[in-house]
Amino acid sequence: MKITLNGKKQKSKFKKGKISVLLSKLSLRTEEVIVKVNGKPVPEDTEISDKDKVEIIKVVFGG
Amino acid sequence: MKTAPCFVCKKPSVIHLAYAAQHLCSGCFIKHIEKRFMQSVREFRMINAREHIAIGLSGGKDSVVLLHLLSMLRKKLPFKISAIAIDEGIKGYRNLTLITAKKECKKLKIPLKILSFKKDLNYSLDAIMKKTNKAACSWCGVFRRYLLNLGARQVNADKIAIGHNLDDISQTVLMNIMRNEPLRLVRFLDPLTLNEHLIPRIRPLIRIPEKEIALYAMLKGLEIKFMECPYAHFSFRQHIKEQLNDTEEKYPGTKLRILKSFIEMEKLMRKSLKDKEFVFIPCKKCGEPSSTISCMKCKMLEELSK
Ligand SMILES: [Zn+2]
Ligand SMILES: [Zn+2]
Repeated sequence: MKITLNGKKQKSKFKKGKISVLLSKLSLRTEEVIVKVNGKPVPEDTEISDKDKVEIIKVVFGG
Repeated sequence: MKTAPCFVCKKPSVIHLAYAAQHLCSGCFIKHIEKRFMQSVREFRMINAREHIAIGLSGGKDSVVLLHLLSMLRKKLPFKISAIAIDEGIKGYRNLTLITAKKECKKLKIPLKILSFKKDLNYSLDAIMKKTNKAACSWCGVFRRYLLNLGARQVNADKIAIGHNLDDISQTVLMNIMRNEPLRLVRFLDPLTLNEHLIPRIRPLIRIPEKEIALYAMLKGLEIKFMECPYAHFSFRQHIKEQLNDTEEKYPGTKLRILKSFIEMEKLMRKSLKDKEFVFIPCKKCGEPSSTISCMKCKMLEELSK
């Protein structure tokens, strides 16, 4: 599916399932990102498919 | 897409608070944040009527959210707010967050005072980093604390409000233990010794995880740039932060449990330190309160002038 990570478009082999699974595939921590699906923030246990518009924003940064 | 319903009102949720086993919708989440903020303000009696609170405003998400929450509280409790921003001189970073700081202060009609490393101490952080190999955070921490206290004194504030969140606090607790500096923990919630030159600090976001602050800012439509300080890498704090976020994911509630045990330990340590004297002497160079003959800020400035 196509995703946007910090404003940059990229492709992932992920087709459908929980956002938390996608995040761990991308080596991202749930504590450090907010995921918007179709423009709205959603919890990481949300089920998504490649019909959804997925945007991941890193909001927690280093020291 | 399939989203779990809100635990309270069954609307589609925006977040899962794993530590509380609750999904919350936008409206219920906003209420939850404001409740957590009020809970800390009350529990630690952080703000009294007619006090003057100076907020340390960087323009990042934590301090901007704190600014909004304080300004909201002012509708119920009469007190004065001033904002103090410190421009460390980090090109491509601080100049951008300061634009947000100015905008938000204007929006909420809060006076803003800006102090700067370059103007007030002669060296921008960018200039310091060209001169030395020491980590940026060690210079930045000392100089920022000095200028924030100075700014708060200049506007006659009673207290300084800091945007430290649950993540910051739990990291700090672990770091102080790992560095064997337990006394630093005691000074954290309340100063050990009152000194008229040192303005006491309050941390109303102590119970709110960093991610939740970011989500609150987003849902409230605050225009915040989520960006990283270019000097943040490779610090001890960064290491602890990553470890703690991994642990929180596997064992939800870890950060809150660290905060709770810190509050308990702090009480016990404070009791046992009650009769000990902690005296400040005026720094021989600048007169600021210090535990040694010359203060850390002056020692570091001297190092830079070599
Ligand atoms: Zn709700
Ligand atoms: Zn000094």
